Amino acid sequence: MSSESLRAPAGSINCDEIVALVPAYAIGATDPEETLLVEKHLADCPEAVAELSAYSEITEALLATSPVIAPPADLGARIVAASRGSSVPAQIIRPDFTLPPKTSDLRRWVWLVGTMTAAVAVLLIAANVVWISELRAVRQREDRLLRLLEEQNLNVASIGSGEARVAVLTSTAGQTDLIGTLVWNVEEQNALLYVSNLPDIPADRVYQLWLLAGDLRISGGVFRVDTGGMGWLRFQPDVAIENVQALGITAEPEGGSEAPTSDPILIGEI
Amino acid sequence: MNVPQSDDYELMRRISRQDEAALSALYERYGGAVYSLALRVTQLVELAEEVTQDTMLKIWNHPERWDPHKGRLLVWLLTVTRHAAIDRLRGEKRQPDLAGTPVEDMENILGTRALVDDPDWQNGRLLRRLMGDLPAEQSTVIELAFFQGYSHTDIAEKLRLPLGTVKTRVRLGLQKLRTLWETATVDPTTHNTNPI
Repeated sequence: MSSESLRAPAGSINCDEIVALVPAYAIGATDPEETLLVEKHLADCPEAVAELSAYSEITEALLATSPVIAPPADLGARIVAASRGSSVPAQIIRPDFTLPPKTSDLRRWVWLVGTMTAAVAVLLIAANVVWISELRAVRQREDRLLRLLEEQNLNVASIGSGEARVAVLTSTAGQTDLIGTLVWNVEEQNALLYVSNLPDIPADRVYQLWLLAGDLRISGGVFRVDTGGMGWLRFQPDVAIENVQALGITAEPEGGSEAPTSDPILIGEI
Repeated sequence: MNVPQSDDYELMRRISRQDEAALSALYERYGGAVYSLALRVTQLVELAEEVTQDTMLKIWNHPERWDPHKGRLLVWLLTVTRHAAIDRLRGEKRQPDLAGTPVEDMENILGTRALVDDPDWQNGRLLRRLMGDLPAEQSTVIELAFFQGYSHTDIAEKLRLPLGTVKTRVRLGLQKLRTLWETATVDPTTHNTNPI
């Protein structure tokens, strides 16, 4: 399978049928093969373009149908902190060490002791805030691991019964340790993809699995990999395995693409 | 939130220079709108916070992706938010309730958090009312597609309906919504947008 073979297919199109799909396309309701047909048709059909334009006002208004709800009070600070690539630092209040008006020595000592006590209290509170934040992060990691374990159990349960087919995906660049394995449960019509050693990609991009069925490129879904390059994707294929000839994985913009926009990194055959 | 386009342009120009104060100002201006949409899609406060942060950082890192000639900053921000939220839902393998959590219910869940009805949201509020004029089976499929990222086939499977029925409901629902919208925007007295 070459990288070119993953690109969008050609096809004969009935204009009226395609224009009838445009409203659904405008709100993202079309299936991948319908999306391909509409997008191809939009390049040549002014009627379809006008129809899409007519629905753009509605889709923009749909975006704003949610009443504004105030986000958590600290979310803005967290976002600004994250923009620096670091977590929100504990806020340390600097005590005002300006000397008070001259008074008796006793009063001055009382004032100094009071000020130092307050400063220590502030530092202790700040330290507590840091530890509470750390504890929360640990608990979140624990929750994520439990969820991952639960997902893995589901994966084994869903794929492990019934007739299964296995496909191996290999690197288009000849990288031998970069590999993917797809297990397809034919009876249950669900599938599981595991990959290892995929390179890290920018945060605004994701990996996307493609099923090549004749001229169609059907998305199997998007996934990310961890820092070790490992990732997995469980999905329910929209096509029967008999109709799928090949598989490919590409890097796509966040949210995935309707059709591959880059050359495949991994490919394999059913 | 009735902000002149020039203000948005200036804000994004400052963000392109990595001006932290501009990021704060952007969040102050549009963070509530972004968060509200993210919450509506994900229906989970934790996920909505993550989506809001992802969206704002995406703008921080790639302000050049907004083309002021193609549309208002708010619309672009919400489009990015919707895609990010649907992507997060898919990544989490979550399937929200089919009917979704009604916005009014979420307001109750959030308790004392203020609901800010901004004049700039009149169009959205109007469309929300018009959606109420659609038959429920049509508004449901539109909501599932737009706010949960479901395709025709996804909806047919979830609602256990023939694929053709789903396609018809989506098409007829949107056609009717378009007619209602055009009527209401030509003659605003047709639909009172005052929520009270």
